[in-house]
Amino acid sequence: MRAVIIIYMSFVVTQVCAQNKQLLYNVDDLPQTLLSNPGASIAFEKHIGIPFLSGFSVSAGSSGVSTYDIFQEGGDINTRIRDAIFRLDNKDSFVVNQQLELVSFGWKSKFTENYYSAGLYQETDVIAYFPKDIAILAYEGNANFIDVPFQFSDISVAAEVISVYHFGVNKEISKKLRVGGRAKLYMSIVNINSTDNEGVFITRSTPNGPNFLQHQVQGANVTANTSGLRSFVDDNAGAGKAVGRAILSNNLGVGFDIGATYTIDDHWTATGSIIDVGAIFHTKDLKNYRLSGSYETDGIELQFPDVLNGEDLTDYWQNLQDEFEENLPYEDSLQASYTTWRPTKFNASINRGFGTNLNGDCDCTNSGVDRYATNVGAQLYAIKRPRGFQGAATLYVDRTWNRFLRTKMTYTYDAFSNRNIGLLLSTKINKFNVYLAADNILDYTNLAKAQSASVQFGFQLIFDPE
Amino acid sequence: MKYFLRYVSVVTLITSVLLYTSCVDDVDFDQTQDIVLSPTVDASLIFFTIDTSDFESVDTQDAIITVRDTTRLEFLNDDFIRENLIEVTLDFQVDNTFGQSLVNRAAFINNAGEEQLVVFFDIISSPDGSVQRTEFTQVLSEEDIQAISNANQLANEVILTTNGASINGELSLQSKAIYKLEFSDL
Repeated sequence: MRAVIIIYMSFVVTQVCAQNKQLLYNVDDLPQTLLSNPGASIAFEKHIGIPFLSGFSVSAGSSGVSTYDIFQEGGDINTRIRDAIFRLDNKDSFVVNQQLELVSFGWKSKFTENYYSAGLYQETDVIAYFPKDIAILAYEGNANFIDVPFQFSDISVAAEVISVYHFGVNKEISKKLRVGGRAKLYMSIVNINSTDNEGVFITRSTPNGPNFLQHQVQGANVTANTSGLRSFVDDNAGAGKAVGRAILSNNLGVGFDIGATYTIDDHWTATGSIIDVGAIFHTKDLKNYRLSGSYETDGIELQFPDVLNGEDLTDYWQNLQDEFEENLPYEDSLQASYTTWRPTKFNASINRGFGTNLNGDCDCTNSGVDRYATNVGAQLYAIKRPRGFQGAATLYVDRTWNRFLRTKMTYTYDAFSNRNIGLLLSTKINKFNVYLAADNILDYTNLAKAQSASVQFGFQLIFDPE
Repeated sequence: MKYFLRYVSVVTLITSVLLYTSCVDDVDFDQTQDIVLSPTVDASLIFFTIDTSDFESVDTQDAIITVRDTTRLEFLNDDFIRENLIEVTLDFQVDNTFGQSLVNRAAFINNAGEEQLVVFFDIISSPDGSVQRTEFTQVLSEEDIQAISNANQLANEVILTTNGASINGELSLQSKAIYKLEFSDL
């Protein structure tokens, strides 16, 4: 339990609008830009990722408080936890996202201007909203919250481990417009989903009732769906099972990405993309849990069946349990199919390039599109989560210093942080590219105080146009 | 090979910068040992109403009449409760119109039928048939809590002492328990 608290609080500390890859977006000489915008403008004609190393990203965190807020030295940790519980609300979330590219490659068609890219990546995505009412009930109890409803809807958790086969096409429609699309086949390895819960628990004062208090559960509908978990928990399936599912899972899904880049004039471009429009259909290796119904009790009403020195023992307790179970049945052996929607992401940007035109005065390799050494711009990002959209806005300066080094510096503002500075370093020597990106670098001197952090890096071969 | 070494150098440099500049300071994760959850739970206990009809079959010539009923309360001796219960307050409220002298006696009993703790209080009698309210609160001592944590039944008695007058009236009892729990070994 202590380990769970440490892990949770450690994440509560470092929030991220996870999956926002603002440092890689619009970086036209990195193939990873195609994963956030399949219609991105690109400056290479072939790429081959180093297997398992071509792209790795991890981001984790939650909104509201930092590790330091809870675990700072001195003072009373219980007071700080209590303050945090009451300060956070049920829209604050704990988020983890991790991606690992297993295979990645792409090539430009010899016959058209199309660029094809494909690969396989593994992704872990977890979001758990802060269950404020449940936390208060657990931490404080109900004594100070008579007539206050505790909402079961505060329980909202979605976690998945998947692998994704993908194939994308990036196509130039005209000198001004480039579009792209990517088809995706999702393989679910493990999924846990408990969202859209309903109902309340409330302790009512009943001055005109038969007892001081009445305890009510109203309209409970709390469901947890799992797929892929039962074989690991009940059957002790090992890592081999997970690898097998990553390659071919019984729980499949389909989806797509679309994106575009529009060249407004010689200096201005605009982009937009929608990523992961899709769903996964969970039909095998299922286990569902459900608590539903309504129930209320005033306590145990004694009937005094044998008034005079009676010793009869009426089974009130058993009756209470039976009534509870009858009215609030808990089912833990269901195997019902269900569908989960992928967290769809939206990107948009406006970019102005200036300075040296990297394509030269006469660009004959990229359909005449100018490509500047220095770019500044703004990006917008949003991701659809169970309780609505989470968004972020980014300003950036992107500079190609020479053939070997490119940097991008970002300032990102979101609901959780207003001091998120990120930095990308991408170096390319001959065809070998290494990139490393991290955000919230201002907090790297003490990550305990950070409210967001993410790291991305990759190794790959990138072939420039001849 | 020369290029490879240059790549490695660059990556090493960048990684080193991040690793050497990043750290987690001024925090003490050992404080998790100090985390204590201390919820206070208000829970209904027993309630009942007795009236004249409950005494119709009673020999009113007896000096003392006891009305008794028992219920199991399985949670009392639950390990979870036993290990974390630090304070219990019992609240009773009785509305009475009987004119006789009355006592309420609540006995917490173990599985062998042995009384572990008895809580009793006088109920205000009604001289004229009007409703007389009695409120009684008992905060259990540590010893009392230990006693009820060995119990799994509650026997409640209303003891009426006759006074020669007819037994007429109504008595309603309400009760709740306020449990203060403390979970420190998380």
